Amino acid sequence: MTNTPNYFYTSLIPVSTITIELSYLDMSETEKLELIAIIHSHLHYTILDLVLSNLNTEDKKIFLRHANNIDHQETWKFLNEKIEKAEEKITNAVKDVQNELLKDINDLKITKKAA
Amino acid sequence: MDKAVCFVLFLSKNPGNLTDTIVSPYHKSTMQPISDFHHLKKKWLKKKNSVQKEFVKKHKEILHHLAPKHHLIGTLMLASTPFLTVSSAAANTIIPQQTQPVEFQQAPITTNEELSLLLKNKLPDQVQPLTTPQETDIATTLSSVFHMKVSAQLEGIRLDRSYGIIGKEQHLRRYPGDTIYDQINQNSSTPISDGLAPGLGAWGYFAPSKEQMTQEDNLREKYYIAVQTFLAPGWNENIGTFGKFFRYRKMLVVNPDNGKAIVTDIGDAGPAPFTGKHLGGSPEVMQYLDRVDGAQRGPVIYLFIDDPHDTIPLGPITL
Repeated sequence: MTNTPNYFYTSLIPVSTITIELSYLDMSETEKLELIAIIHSHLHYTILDLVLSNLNTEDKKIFLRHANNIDHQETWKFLNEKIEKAEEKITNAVKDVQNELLKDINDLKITKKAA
Repeated sequence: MDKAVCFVLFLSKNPGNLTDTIVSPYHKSTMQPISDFHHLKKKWLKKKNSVQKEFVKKHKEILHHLAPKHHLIGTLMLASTPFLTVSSAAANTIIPQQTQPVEFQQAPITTNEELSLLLKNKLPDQVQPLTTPQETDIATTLSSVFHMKVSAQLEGIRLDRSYGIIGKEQHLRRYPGDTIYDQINQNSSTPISDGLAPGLGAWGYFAPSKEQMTQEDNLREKYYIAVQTFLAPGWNENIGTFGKFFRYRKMLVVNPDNGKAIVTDIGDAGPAPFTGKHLGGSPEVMQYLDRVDGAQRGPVIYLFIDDPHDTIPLGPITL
């Protein structure tokens, strides 16, 4: 994939797992990319919701100023100061979404086998 | 701040058809098995939209607070497909240039909340006549969102404004002898208390008799609006021509506070300027848009629909 934005949480997203599973299904590369784009959007909102829900109003503004910086270290430094176990919470949220989507793929495979 | 807001509301939109009506595992209409892609796309889009809706609802205060309005939507609704190679430079960055046009074709609006945010950012803080650039911008947006051509001016004719306060009208007599009890029954969604206007609408009865009333006549009354035709530029000099133009002319009415939209027709002229209102909606129109009269009244956007072949049905329109 080209042109993948690099957000502060990008390294925590294991989209490769889902990409591999999608490769077992019957779809074109463009279709796979479209699905992965949906996943990224889903994760984006999930992670932002988690972060913003754990910050007060002033910290939200500061976070959003940081969040789009290239230097993600600053962002993580801020998050780690403000949210206990920030990385762990984000990783768990991402895993939950990933597991949910993997289940959808598995359910589809089962349905196809049964058909 | 632009960058911050853009980051927050980065949307990973898809260039594909977002209006799939496929029901797993078969197309409703053709009974053909659906593809793996469409099956997952439908499911995952639904989940994503749900998360997104909750996010916007939960954090709307900070989102509205963050960015000056004229920056907001250009950045909010961008980044349609950042993971695909698309021609627009905007899709390759989370930080769009302020001067870049928003490419709605790549970032289709899929929820009322998104449309509401988009419109609120384009509208002035006060309810006032829009400037020509504002009208054009909003009309272009709504044309794209609803796949119909809407504009503030059609066939060289326009109203005095396209953004104003809407008030509630009463029902209009559809044919001689029509009563409120004929219009409202146990299946109606609006109450009898909305009442029947004492006089006829600007175009008279919708049908010559009850027996001759068609479904179209009925829907014209149901989804009518009253607009200030008499304030249209050129009205006094061209009453005949303008009257024909305005008679049952279809207009798209949108509530920017909730993103709801409805296809209406001009069924009456009014309200009087001294009321402080700029147009009126039938009880059904008001109910659908969640607009009320009185102290809680609010504004709507109203634009002509270019529908020369009369193919666009009257009534609520969804995304």
